[in-house]
Amino acid sequence: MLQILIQGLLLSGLYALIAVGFTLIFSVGRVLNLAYGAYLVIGGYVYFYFAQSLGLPKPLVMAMAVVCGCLVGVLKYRLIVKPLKGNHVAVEISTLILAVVIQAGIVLLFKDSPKILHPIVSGVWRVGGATITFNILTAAVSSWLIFGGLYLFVRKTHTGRAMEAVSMDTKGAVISGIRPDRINLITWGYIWRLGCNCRGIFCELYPAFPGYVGCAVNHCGCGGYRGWYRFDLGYLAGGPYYWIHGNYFNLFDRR
Amino acid sequence: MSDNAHLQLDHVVKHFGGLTATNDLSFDVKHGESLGLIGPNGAGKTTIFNLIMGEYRQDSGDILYQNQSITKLPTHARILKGVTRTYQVPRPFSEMSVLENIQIGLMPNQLREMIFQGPDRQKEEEIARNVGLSEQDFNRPPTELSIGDLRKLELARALATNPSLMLLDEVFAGLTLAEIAQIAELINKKRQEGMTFIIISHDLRSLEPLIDRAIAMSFGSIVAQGTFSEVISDQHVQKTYLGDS
Amino acid sequence: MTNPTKKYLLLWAIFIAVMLLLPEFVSKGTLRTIIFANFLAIFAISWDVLSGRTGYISFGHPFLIGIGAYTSAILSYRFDMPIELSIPLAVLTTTIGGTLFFLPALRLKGSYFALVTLAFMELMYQLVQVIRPDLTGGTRGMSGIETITRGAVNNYYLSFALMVTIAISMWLLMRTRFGSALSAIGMNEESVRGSGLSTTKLKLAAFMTSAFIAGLGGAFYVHYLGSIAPRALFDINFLFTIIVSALIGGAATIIGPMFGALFLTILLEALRPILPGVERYLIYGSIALIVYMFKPQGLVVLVLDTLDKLRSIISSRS
Ligand SMILES: Nc1ncnc2c1ncn2[C@@H]1O[C@H](COP(=O)(O)OP(=O)(O)OP(=O)(O)O)[C@@H](O)[C@H]1O
Ligand SMILES: [Mg+2]
Repeated sequence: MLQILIQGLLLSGLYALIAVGFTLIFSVGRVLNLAYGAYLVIGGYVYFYFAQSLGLPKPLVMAMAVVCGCLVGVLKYRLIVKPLKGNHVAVEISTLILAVVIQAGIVLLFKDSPKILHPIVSGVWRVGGATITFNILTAAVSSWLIFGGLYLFVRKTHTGRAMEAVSMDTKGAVISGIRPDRINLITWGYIWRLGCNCRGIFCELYPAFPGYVGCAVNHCGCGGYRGWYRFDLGYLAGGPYYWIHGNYFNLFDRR
Repeated sequence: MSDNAHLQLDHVVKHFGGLTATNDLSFDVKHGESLGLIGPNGAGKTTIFNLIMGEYRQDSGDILYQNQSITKLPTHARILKGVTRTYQVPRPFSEMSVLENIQIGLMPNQLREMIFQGPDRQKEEEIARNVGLSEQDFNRPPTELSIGDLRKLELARALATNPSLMLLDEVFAGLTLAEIAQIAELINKKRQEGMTFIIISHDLRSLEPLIDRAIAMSFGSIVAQGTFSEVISDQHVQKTYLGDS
Repeated sequence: MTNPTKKYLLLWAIFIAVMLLLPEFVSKGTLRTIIFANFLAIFAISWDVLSGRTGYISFGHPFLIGIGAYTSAILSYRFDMPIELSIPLAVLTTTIGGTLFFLPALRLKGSYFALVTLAFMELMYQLVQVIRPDLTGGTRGMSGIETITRGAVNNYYLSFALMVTIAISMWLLMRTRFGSALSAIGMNEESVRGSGLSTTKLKLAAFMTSAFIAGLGGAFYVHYLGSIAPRALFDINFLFTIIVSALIGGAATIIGPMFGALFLTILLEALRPILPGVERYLIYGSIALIVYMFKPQGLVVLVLDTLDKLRSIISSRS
């Protein structure tokens, strides 16, 4: 119980971060980005391939994941969102199609068996009966840091303020398409951390559609690639906490 | 207020965030009367229409239609009672022909009739002709119409709901003189038939002959009311309205 | 009867005649493919009646199909109810149950509606596995469910009859003013309200029609397959296939979803020798994306346009 509680508490920051990424696009662009989960998956596979299969240094790979994510996001925006000129229905459906395409692409490249990701930071810490891996701890701390950074970004920087303004005035929504995407990309650059919970055995995380009704993420990869958009009941312990955050920190939705 | 008020606003307040769009507004319009609503941009004129139609809900105050509160009714129920409006920016169904647009206005709100009764093509054409749309436009999509014809289509769809009170929002904007004359004639004809009007217009010259009474607004409040010439010569109106627009 | 109606009825007749003769000319394997296309067409029509017309995108159609399929399967497999009874009950359950679930969602605007429907599908996937697995069969589902008839040919006729009945009824229904009102909602909901129509009522009617068809299709489908598993049903690829069938063929039409379903199924089969698994969806999805981006009206319109162009080229030559 204690284990679940602590783990849930630690992970909730991460989930909240994912949720914010999703809601950013939703509130700024007013469209559901159904390919969001696929972005997260790409991040995981970039890490898997470059860090584990090729053995490149971890920090470099993390940077690569972020860059790669930005690239996908910008491409998606340029090739799909922009030509559709803010037609919600069309954008949502094309992101659904894109999600399927990315998913199939990953299966083509990596097969559909789950990939085991090694923890990025090894070691454990025992508190009472609970075991906390340093990996989760790092994940939690850095999510909160990023979260804070994101908050400051929105509140203090020019771009952030612009995004906020856009979210209130839908007319300008399209302009900002890139920005929130980029933030998502930054967000999912961190999924490698997510990927490292779960007793360090498996860990591919296929979170998706985060930010809706508090059910978002499948950690522990129960479902292999198919599970990427599944909601994990096991996470319910941390769920309400995350849920509150997901809503409370919905920085943009001011309506 | 008098018993024969067709529509009555009673201390209506509407805020948008910190902005007060209508500030404790009360006025009425009598059966068969035509009321002009003037005021600078952002005065809250369109907001009044939105409130009357139930597209927005007022924060407080009451709206009465023939002495009955309609505040709790949804938009379509208000239309069934006989109120209808046109929009400042015409909003046609873009992938339907002109006649099909009018058909939606004519449609009864009963599923059974929708399914088992065909459209009344003659009625559609009659309404289209009435507002001055020409025969060759009947089967065109609205995207191919001029702004003048779009306004006529807007009027036609509104008229199709068989109203007794019409709210017209900037019907003359962007029209040629000939088109203005055409629509003015239509309004006058309907007035003679006993229809009640509330007309918003920036085009005071065209508005004048169409109304019995005028109300001037500024920042959500009434600044003057009376006959057109009374209102127009009012000091406030001179300053707030004619001064800056 | 007007002339265009006559023309359309003639086209329907030709189409039905060709499809009825089909088993004489094609292999059993192909027939099985087309059986799937028929069911897919039913699901796509069901989706289109709601989403293609009104623009309220449902990501939850597998949820509705699932209610129909599971209800009938459970009733007949666990309670030995005859199929003649279990299917109507399943359809009823889908229509009423689905409506109760979606009633609150119908008041939501566009994207929120889509989100909620998506959540329902997810919820159903989770619930089916954990709640009363003794009835639903849990993660593994059920197999050995009674089938209506045996053999490819019989099943082909059955599925085709079902599909064509649904298609023609929907075609007739959507030609009425009710159909126009639904399309009008998709173009501008406020103006529909502004024309004195209750859009909530219209959307509810569209939803119930859609749920009815989904339930019917789902129930027949499960008694064709003889088995059911949650993973196959509540899968993003299945959802994708339904939606894309309707869109790639042409939304807000009847022939569109039918054509789209056939096109996608045949494409999927054609790709099988090259890519056996889920990888097919890469090509499948890319084609869908390209068609959708460049010809949002769908393939049927594309084909007709091309024919028109060819005709004008030929006539200008001669
Ligand atoms: N939906 C809304 N949300 C926020 N503010 C609004 C909304 N609708 C109107 N307003 C504000 O309320 C005020 C009154 O607007 P309204 O459209 O009623 O003005 P108007 O008198 O019709 O002006 P115009 O002559 O330009 O049409 C304006 O300041 C406007 O910005
Ligand atoms: Mg206005």
